[in-house]
Amino acid sequence: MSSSLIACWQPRKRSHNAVHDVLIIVIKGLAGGALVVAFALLSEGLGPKRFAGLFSAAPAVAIAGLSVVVLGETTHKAHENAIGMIAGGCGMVAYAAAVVPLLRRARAAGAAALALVAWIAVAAIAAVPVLLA
Amino acid sequence: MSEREPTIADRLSETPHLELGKIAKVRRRDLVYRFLAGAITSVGAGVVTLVFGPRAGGIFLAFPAILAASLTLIEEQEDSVEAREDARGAMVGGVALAVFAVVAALTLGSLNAAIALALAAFAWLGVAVSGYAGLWWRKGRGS
Repeated sequence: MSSSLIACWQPRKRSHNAVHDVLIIVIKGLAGGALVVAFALLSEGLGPKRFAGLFSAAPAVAIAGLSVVVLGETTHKAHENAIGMIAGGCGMVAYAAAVVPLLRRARAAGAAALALVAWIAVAAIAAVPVLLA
Repeated sequence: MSEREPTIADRLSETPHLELGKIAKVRRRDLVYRFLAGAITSVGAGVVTLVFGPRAGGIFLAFPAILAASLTLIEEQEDSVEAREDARGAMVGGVALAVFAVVAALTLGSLNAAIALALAAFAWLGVAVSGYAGLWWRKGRGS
């Protein structure tokens, strides 16, 4: 009796979890997009361009993502996300440093795409201690 | 379209300012691109979190999709000199982003989550603005 109840209940729990996960990802997408637009508007109004650039690396996606995780999931998961983000942050510094000379040699779209190699390399190296810790 | 690289003197004489009129002139299409860049990065980080765990997903919270979109749009509207200037600012912004992550990692779980995120955001802003002032602005004001 109890085993048949569990058999009925588990798929329902799994589908409930899947719906919850999809909902969380959709909310993260909407919140991330909205916050990026807010920072972009602020950045457009700022001058000089070098000062506005501070906001091109603003933690818009992180603030939105971590807030959704805290509200919809657990603080522990947000804490784990933040630890992983340290590696991505190191990659972001490398990306910005790499894209400046690349912009002298290529169009922005090409330079921005090529500089991703720097982000991936540095984030991957920094991710080793972060993921193993 | 000026391709002249700003000189050191040009850079040091510029005082940070906010022009609300420029915000009103932002094209809707540019905002849509940026919304999509932010939304796709957020969804990607969420999917990686689901598949590989929250630490792996967290790496993508600092994915440079927004900077890449901004550089492309700046070059299109202005020139590559301005795009390079934006990227130079983003180097300091990137350091501040990493500090945001460190502060969030240290405080989430030990402090109230709202306070922890607010502290991380203030740390980001403080490092970004003081980094800019220390490197490029303060010197131009005579020190």
